[in-house]
Amino acid sequence: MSLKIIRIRLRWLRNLIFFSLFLLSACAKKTEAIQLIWNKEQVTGISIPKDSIGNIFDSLDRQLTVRLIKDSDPVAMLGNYKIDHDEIIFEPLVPFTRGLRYQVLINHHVVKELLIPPIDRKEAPLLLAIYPTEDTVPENLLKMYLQFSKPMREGKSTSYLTLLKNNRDTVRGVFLDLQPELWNEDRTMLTVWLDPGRIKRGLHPNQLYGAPLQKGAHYTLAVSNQWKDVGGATLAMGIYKNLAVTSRDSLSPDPQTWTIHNPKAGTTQVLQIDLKSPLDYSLLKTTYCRWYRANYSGRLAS
Amino acid sequence: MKKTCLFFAFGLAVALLLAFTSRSHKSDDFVTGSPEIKSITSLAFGPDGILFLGDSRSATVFAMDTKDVGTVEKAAAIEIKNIDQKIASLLGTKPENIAIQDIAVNPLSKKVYCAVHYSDGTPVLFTIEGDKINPVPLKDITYSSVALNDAPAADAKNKWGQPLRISSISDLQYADGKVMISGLSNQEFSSTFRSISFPFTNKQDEASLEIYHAAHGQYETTSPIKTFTTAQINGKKYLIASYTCTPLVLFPLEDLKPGTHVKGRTVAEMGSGNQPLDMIIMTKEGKTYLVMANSNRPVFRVNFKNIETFEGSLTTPVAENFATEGVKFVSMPLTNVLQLDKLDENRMVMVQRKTDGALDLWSTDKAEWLLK
Repeated sequence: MSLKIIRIRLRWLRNLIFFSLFLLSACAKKTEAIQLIWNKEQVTGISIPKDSIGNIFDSLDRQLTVRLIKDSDPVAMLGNYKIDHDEIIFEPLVPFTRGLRYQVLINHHVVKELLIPPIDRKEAPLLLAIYPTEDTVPENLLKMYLQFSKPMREGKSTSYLTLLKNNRDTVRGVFLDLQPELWNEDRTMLTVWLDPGRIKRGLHPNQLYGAPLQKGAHYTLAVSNQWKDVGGATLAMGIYKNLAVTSRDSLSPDPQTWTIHNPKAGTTQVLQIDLKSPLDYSLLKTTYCRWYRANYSGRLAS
Repeated sequence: MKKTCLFFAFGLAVALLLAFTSRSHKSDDFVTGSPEIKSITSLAFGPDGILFLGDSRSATVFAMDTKDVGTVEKAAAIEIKNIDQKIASLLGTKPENIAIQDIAVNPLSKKVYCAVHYSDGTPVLFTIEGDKINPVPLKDITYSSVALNDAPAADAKNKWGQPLRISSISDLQYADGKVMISGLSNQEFSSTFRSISFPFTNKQDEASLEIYHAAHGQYETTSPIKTFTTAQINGKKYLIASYTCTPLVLFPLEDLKPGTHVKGRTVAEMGSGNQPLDMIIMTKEGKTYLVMANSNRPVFRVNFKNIETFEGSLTTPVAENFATEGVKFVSMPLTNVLQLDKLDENRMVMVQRKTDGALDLWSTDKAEWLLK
């Protein structure tokens, strides 16, 4: 009799273990299906099978939590949860950070750990150009433009730029630290100002300390490869640009001396303008079309 | 019956009047929706819980109805250590991937509004009350907006006669029915100062401002205003502005009319090699102070009496670089204050980088002596 009771109990126990394993396995299969949602190079959300949560008896953000794995005080990430057919989509307020690990918790139990794939070096941004492109500049050079291949992080530009004089001394305080920085709208081009107070003649700092760039000296502009783009990828390589400094350039550009090589009508030949002297890259881009229209569009039409 | 009808009609009229009165600062162009806010680089509160968001990336000012209009006389004390770590955790990232852009205290609820940028530039807005940090939705909000470059002010032209486009909003403030904005052009070292009536209209007034920059030893028209406020001095309303390299300049508000060229009175040169970051006005025990946070100097405290009694204008260069001139001011024992605002009548709130590297948000409850 007692043997029979033990057998029945064991059968119940076996069934219970089997059922629990089945549930765990089913749950694991469901949470395996948690997917990252990509938008360009960023993970902007995750999708979780709706049935992995079971009955939704409370607000979603109480049953479902996503958090950064960290040493202490993990907290739920802020974001929006929405149900889309058989999925629950979690969209954090800002994209997940590449290279960091996160936990998904359902009803306060960790069901999944996610690694957001680190940045691939192939995705690294490039510094395409530094304007002026010439390596000889006047001592009153007022600004430079840095053109990147991808949108870059804002706010700490001057910490990635160093000016070395004669390959020896770091020239300090040469760049104006403006906040907000002067980026174009898609943050691929930065305007960097050399301190105008030291460049404009007659100003007190100019009289006391002279221009930031000194005639006859050689400088190297070093751009650190630690500069990150908006996705967190650092520059593919650091860049060094050598500059030889000549006399002050006080002559205004004279459009009357420019030579225009018009393309032939009905062709796709390029328009060439010989400007005779280097001009400000960005200002030229925005002003020459207007000047050309005003002075030469009639000729072209004829 | 007739009396009852009249009573109800009167009640309805009063209710309607109250309803419209409470919305008097909002115009018909307030809509509900999800505007494309590309950045939040400046914050300032207007009337009735209206929060102005300066979006440098799109050169737009948004007026957002926070609906946060419950009046609180005394704010809860704030002492949040490592505010950057706490905000980063809520955003699921590390502190190096976020940057606090600005803070502004709602003068009604005394909640601190804090604008943060994620490393990809995504703007996020929070409220901070005591030790609670809560997100403020930027979708499905009631708002109106004005694009600064869609209607360039008449005088905002560069030397080639082209419209001067604002690419960076340095500061914005609301006073006397107007939103005032200082901005900087990207390609040229040119500053603009605009005054836009609120509720927004298409008209943007611009006055060109000229100052004597004693650290530069020259009159200048293009120096960008970094931070400013408005205040009454000797019974007259003034714009109090501070520039890069830190001259302090007064402009009578009544003179800032469209198309006018206004020469400011430089009352103090507070030291070159520095940028002013934030400026507020505090009153303590009958004394009014201008309090200013700086990039390379401690927080300055200027007694208004010193400004009121300083009748001159600095028109000669300072004797040596980094030297100060004009109105006397006190350097407070507060360094590395990156953001500063008035919390309530007696207290300030600030974001400060401490000597151990921690970034803390705290109110001056335990430091009343700062304004004595």
